[in-house]
Amino acid sequence: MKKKLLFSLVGVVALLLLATWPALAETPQRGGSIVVVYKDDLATLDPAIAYDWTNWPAVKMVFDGLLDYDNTTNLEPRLAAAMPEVSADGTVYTFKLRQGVKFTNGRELTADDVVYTMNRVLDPKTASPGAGFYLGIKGAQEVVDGKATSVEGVVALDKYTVQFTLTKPDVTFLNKLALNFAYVVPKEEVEKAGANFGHAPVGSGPFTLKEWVPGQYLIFERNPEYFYGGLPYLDQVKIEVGVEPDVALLRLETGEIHLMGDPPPGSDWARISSDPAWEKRIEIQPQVSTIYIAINVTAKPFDNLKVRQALNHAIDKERIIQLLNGRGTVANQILPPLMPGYDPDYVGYDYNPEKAKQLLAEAGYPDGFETSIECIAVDPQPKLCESFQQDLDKIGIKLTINTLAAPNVIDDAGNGRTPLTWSGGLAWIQDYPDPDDFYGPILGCDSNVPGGWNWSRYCNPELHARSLELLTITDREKRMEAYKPFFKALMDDAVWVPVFNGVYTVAHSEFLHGEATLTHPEHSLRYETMWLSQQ
Amino acid sequence: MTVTQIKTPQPRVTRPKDEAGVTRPALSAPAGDSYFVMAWRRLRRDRAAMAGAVLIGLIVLAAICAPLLAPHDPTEQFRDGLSKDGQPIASTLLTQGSWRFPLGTDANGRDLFSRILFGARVSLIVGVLANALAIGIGTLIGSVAGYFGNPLETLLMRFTDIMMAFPTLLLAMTLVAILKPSLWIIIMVIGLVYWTWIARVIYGQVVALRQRDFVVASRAIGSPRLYTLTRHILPQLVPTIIVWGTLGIATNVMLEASLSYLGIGVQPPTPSWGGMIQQAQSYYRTAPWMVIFPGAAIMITIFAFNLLGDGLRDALDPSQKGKL
Repeated sequence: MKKKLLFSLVGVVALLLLATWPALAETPQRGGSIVVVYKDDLATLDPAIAYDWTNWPAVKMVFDGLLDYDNTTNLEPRLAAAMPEVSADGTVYTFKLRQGVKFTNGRELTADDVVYTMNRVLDPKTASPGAGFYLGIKGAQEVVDGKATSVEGVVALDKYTVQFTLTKPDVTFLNKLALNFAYVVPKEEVEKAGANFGHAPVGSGPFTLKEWVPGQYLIFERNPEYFYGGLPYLDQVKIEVGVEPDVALLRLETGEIHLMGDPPPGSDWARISSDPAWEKRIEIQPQVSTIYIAINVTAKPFDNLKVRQALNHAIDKERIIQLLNGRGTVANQILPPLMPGYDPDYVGYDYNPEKAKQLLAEAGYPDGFETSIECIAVDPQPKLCESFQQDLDKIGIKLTINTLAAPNVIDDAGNGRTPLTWSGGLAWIQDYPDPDDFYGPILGCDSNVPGGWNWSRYCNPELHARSLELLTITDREKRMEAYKPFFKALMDDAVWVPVFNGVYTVAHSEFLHGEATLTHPEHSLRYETMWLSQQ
Repeated sequence: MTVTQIKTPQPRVTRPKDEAGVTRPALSAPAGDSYFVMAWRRLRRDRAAMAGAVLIGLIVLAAICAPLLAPHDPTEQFRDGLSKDGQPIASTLLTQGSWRFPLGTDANGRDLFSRILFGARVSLIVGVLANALAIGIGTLIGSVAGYFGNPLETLLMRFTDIMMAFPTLLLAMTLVAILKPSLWIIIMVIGLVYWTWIARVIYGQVVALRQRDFVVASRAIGSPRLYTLTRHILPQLVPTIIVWGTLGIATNVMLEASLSYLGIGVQPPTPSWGGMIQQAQSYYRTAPWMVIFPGAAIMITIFAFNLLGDGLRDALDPSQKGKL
């Protein structure tokens, strides 16, 4: 009897252990360090400048904004103590700051820092690609035009209160404040580092940059005084750069690294995605993105609408999906399907080389012409560009492919030095869940500036006026309906060839976890909530 | 045949058949057997060299007949050239499947066999033309420097030394970066970095030759210097040029493959062996045929030219004269 009791006791304990074990495994644990690898070096960690998907999540490690997203796409206060008070007409936002937040140089973060940050982003000398997001703030345009030195609409009411005044209501304003560009920087550190601030960043974020050896690695260490939610979990994140994706995958397989920053290479995707041993090491997330060929509308002969339309008919997008090992879906419009405002009834341009040829002939190029496209050198982009080369060859266009490192492509495209730009590996992934994000920063007149991300160099004043009107519609459903004809008009102008909507694939160690997932639609990788179940 | 000749200390001296009135050193071979006939006889007995020659013949034939031999257009990216999940199709040699793609396909779904055949054209054109350019420049600079003496000698040879001091590949990469890469630019660049070696060798020979009696005699009877250089000295350099011309092709094929591998050589979609290996490098585990076949093509070509070049050097060496 006694024996039996003992036996059953052991059984109960074992059962209890079994029941709690998975729960234990799913509770984030503190500590440990991870190694992440990328092929290309990070260009900068200056929040006003960094705007590609490799440095975007790294900037979020060092800096913080007034607001940030929870594990989904809801905004929540971060440096702000609470969500702001908004005036009845929707033009005045008043934020109370969290008290006692310190930059990692030891100084307390105050409302003056927020004001300084906004002035810095809008200052033309900063040349921030994100300045366009904040032109709705009262007095912002004057600063951008050089007519004023500080923005009238951003005021520190006291040490912990900051007020934003807009010229017109903007339903996306809070989303824009949650972008990296508005992440708060300390004035004294920016002035001390000067142009080098992007390589010696100081912020109030969950990590601090300890060391950066350009071309080799970056080491981020946990900020022990970080104020938010016990984050981060990891003690250290080391980002190694200059590692080819196929080498990175090998190193992941041998357990040397924990996370591949670049997607797993196409050469191995079929193998690992069908291997059960990899099931717990691959995260597949739909990405709210459209990958496209930007057509520079100022470059001959692409100033001719018919030529741009011909290009749209000439590209075999199904083929691209095949070359991507199925990691994507064919796109026919600017907005991705997961973005509100997407028009499921829009047909777009079909794949039709005959029609493309006919359009070229009508445009006065019956024998085609010679042109070039810039692509980044990371697999699979050159392969995709070779597919475009074949497609265009069929309609008589001789395409030269220039494969360059990512910062060079961004530089050339942003300054109108290339007629065509393949956005694969670069753009465009949503910054915030609103269709305006697929117009303003990449097709709007404000982004059609040297260094801007409007690679089509497109500015349609009439559409631009309409886009500003759309931001003031507060009825969400009405507003999203209104975006459908707006984006159709852009497609009628054939400013892009939208090619596919992406899928985010991340290969990682089976011991690396996120609070929800490793990725976040607004962050791409989210380091602050990553944790290791075995160190 | 008995060895009766007196061996002269001077290497590689030919007997110009069309020269009259020039006293030649006693290098007489059996009557009727010219220097080149003798050399050819020696070459024919060299099995390794002949194997190289046959291989080169086959490669040249493949390159010329590529459009007839290739089953597909080398730049056509086939829908069925990739599996449904985007993987290249394996070589028939590995799968015993259909013969549609005998050596498999590449990452864009193009036929590897057709690309290797057409790639031979690029390799040979670059190898031969770049080498011709290098020999032209090298012979001109080497012989002018060697024959005319100072100050041209110092000027030209120090310039050659400076050019040699640059690492070949680095110099080629810099030139390609400045000029936009295309087939003709690659040929030019390879020729421009490779001539220095030939210039050195030619210079050394011309310096030795200009002391020789037949050259002195030509000058003594009043021939102009340029005439002496072109009519008496240059013909003596032919064996050297033949040997370097053959060995140099191998080097240049390799240099083109290296440049294309680095992505700055022959540009897509033109098939080039080096470029094919570049695309294959991330596929070596999942699609090894993509790297094996173009790699083998480069290896065989270089091997063949080296075999023939070595054989030619032995056959054209006058110290071998009389040995059969």
